[in-house]
Amino acid sequence: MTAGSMLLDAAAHAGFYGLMGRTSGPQIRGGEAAALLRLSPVPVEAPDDHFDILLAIDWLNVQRFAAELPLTPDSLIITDPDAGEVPAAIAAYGARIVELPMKELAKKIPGGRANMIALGAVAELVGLPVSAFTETLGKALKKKRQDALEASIAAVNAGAEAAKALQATARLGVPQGDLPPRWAITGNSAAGYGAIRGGVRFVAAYPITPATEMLEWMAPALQKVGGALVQAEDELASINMAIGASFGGTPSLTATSGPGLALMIEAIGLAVASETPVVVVDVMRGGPSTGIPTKTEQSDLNIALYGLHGDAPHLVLAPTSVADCLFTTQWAVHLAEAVQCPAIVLSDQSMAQTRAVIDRPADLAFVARRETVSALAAEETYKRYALTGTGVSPMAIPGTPGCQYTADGLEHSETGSPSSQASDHLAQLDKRLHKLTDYQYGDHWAVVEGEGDVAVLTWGSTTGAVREALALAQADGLKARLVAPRLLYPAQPEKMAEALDGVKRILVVEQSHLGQFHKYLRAEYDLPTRDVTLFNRPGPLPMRPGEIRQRLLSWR
Amino acid sequence: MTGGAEGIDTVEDLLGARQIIEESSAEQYEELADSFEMSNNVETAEVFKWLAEWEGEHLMSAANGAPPPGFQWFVYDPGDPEAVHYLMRPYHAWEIALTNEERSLAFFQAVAERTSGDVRDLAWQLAEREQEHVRLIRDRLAATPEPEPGWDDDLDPPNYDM
Amino acid sequence: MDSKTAAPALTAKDFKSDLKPVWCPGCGDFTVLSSITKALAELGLRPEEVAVVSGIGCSSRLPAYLNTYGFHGVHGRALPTAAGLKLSRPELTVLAAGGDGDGYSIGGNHFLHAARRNADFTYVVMDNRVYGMTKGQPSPTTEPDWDSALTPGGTGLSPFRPLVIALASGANFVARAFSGDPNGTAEIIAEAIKHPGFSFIEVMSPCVTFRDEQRQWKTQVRPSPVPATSDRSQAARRLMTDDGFNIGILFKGDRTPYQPPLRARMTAADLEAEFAL
Ligand SMILES: Cc1ncc(C[n+]2csc(CCOP(=O)(O)OP(=O)(O)O)c2C)c(N)n1
Ligand code: SF4
Repeated sequence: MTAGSMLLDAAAHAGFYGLMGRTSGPQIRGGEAAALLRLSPVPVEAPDDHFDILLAIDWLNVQRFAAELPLTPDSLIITDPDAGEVPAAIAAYGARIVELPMKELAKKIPGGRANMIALGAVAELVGLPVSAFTETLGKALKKKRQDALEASIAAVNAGAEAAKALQATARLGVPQGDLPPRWAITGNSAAGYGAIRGGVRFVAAYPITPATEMLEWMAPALQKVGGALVQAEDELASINMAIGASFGGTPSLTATSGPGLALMIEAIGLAVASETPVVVVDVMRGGPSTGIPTKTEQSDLNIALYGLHGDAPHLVLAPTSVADCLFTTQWAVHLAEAVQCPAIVLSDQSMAQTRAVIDRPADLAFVARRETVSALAAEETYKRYALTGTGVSPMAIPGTPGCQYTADGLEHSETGSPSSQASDHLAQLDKRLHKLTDYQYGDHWAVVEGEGDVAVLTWGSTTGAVREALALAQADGLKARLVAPRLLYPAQPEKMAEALDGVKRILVVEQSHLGQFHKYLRAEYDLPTRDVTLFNRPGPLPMRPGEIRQRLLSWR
Repeated sequence: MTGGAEGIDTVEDLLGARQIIEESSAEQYEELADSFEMSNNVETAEVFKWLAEWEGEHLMSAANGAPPPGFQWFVYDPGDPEAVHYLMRPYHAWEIALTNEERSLAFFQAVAERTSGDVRDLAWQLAEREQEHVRLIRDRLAATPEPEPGWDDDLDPPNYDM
Repeated sequence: MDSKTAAPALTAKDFKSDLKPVWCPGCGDFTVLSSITKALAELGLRPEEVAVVSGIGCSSRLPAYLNTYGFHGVHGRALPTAAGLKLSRPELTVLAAGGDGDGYSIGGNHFLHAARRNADFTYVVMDNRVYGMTKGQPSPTTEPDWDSALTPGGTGLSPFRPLVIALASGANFVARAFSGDPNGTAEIIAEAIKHPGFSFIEVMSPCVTFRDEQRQWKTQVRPSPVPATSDRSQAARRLMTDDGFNIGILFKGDRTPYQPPLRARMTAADLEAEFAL
């Protein structure tokens, strides 16, 4: 894993782009693990169709994720003679197999390690200069002694030297000149940073894979900017703490994954009814139940959209890439605060735990700006849930004299006093719906790209694969559009109609066994054609550009 | 109830105690009026409303004294779950009021007996006034029909739910 | 002159809202409400500086009857909501209030952790040993042989011991009060609010509708014969022989309250440096 990160960093320093995902077994320590890298001279957002190089230091239990390591006969498998036979599931791809005695080479260097040998070998094969590692290694080993650094550099060199004898397959080529400022970031940190940029200063959460790293990134970051992260006793506490803090005027967030989201649902309904802004980031993993904690899936869409009891309209958003985790989370904070409503942000394990080299995202004007009251004219009674034109009622922050009120999850009148009257219920339901549906979301509601009478509809992390598939298909002469809603709720029927104007055929791509997104589209939108095909698959296998392209080309 | 005559030694003490008796009575009658109104026991609510306003009028004439520390006054025993009942009749409300007035009469008399001079004079004065109150409430009670047996038969199960 | 210092002193009445309680006439919660208003007035607080958070139940209706800020949340979650508010707005005076079902059953886990976390707010439980709001089911503090429609013949379970649990979990202030003594209760609440850290008050508050046998309480309660201790193990020893009717402050600890500092050392934009290549 460390070697994989170093390779990504070194490539980034040499001017390349790339991303690294990971897959691993369930063991706490010493489990089988693979770093999945894609390097490129141009920005990339999704794993490629296959890997060009599979380097194995050992093969223990690799069959558990062999399906996540697609190879072609043109790929190269590098194996250590010490590691034994290449397992059948891998050998079956028919790739060329070469041996490299990594463990033995490492032994010859005092303090040398096999993974550093491997790093040097891969660098040599893809055409990355060994010098690119010097800085990366220095950073990674800064807490260790100087001789550790020297040993590592020697090992990288030895690996590179040994690989010269092997026939290279894929070369990286030359990096672009004139690079814009770039970042290396994971989806989890991007979401965390987006939240802080949006104004979040209070987080309460309970650890859960794969959301934990987002929280671990946020905890020290919040301390630096004057906020706080509280580790709560469970998800029920997390969400209610966040709601309490937001009631106090502080933009607040919690992050979790499917099982935690299920526990939070009642309180998200409370945030809807009491009109308390709060952001819930759900980093989706394989479900239901504990499911596959370490692997990705897009199967929490239903619960996020429709899991609340009662008529409880709320915001649901989904970033479409690692970089977009920053934008979408920041925007979600802004929207939640603006319309005083909970926002569920659906990220997923593949984006969240992928570390990507990206162009520095733009600075955004979207920050939390809640409508509040500062003082009242004498004798005026404050109405927390006043029926206003926009449906958004200015909120009194505790400490504001003369505006004391009790926020309530019980249905209430405009002043907030409990009411079970039909007229109050209807008025408040209407208000809570219209403040969402009337809001002007602008162009950010979706990624809309391309032209032609074919459209591919997708959402979340599969967007990158679809975008790449469309570029490939275009090279084959097929023009198609990409529409990936970032704002899933409230639905934007007019904007969708415009985006799909003239479309005759639709392909829906998603990573859910039940086709949840497909069903959502049919429930919330009048699609312009009945010719809608679903291409879905549950996690953990990613949707790959090539297979999407194949589907499209088969339509011609 | 709990308001004992023991700590009352000066005119100030006495005025303070009187203020607490009247304020607390007014407040508690009002609370009872509200709660009977909530329970849709309109007649009983009206009696308490009247009592609250009546006590309120005395309040306005009350001069400010310093309440002796720890002195408190209750119209009914808040520790007794049977002191009030949601179906209770106006008759019971007048009974509560009568007990309250008799207790304040007894209080002022007790103060008068254990003090002298100005304090004693004032205590007698207040006791006399209280005597009038007792008479008035007694008349009201006499004019109110006694509740029929079974007034607390409860055919409606409590209705809450959340 | 500072307008705040010039503001007239407030009375208990100023802390009551115009909303009329839905409670049954005679419910113990009425006097707990009065005790809270009295305590807030005595402490010289202003209504806008106070927030009272609750869950669901008859007793949890309380915040709306106060003229302070209030949050009437979901069943069992008053404590985390109050903690989130206090930790993010340390200058506010925060109270959580609710019933025994709300606090000890559905919210039981939060009770342990609120005591352990020791954020600086006060928790008032109106314990009537029954679920009032849902019409008379047993709660964790109900006697084992109390008969109800849901548990014919009683639960057969030994009751939860709130003071023991609070003390063992690290609460920094532990007391028992009786709604039949509103002034005493007000004094304890005022002490609890003044005391730093998580203060817990178990208020015996009879339910006149479902537990009329609780009329016995007024004859059973007695002021605790000993003053509060600051020695947790001594407090624990006292609880071993406690019959549940000693009224007063049992324990006042000196744990430092939990409060993140909330001091900014840099701007959000400064954080970007760690991602830049
Ligand atoms: C999640 C959930 N489960 C159940 C309920 C129903 N419910 C409302 S109040 C209550 C118990 C109230 O008892 P307690 O907290 O002791 O308060 P009391 O009414 O006695 O004051 C229950 C079970 C609910 N509102 N929410
Ligand atoms: S049911 Fe019991 S707890 Fe609820 S309001 Fe009535 S007396 Fe109070």
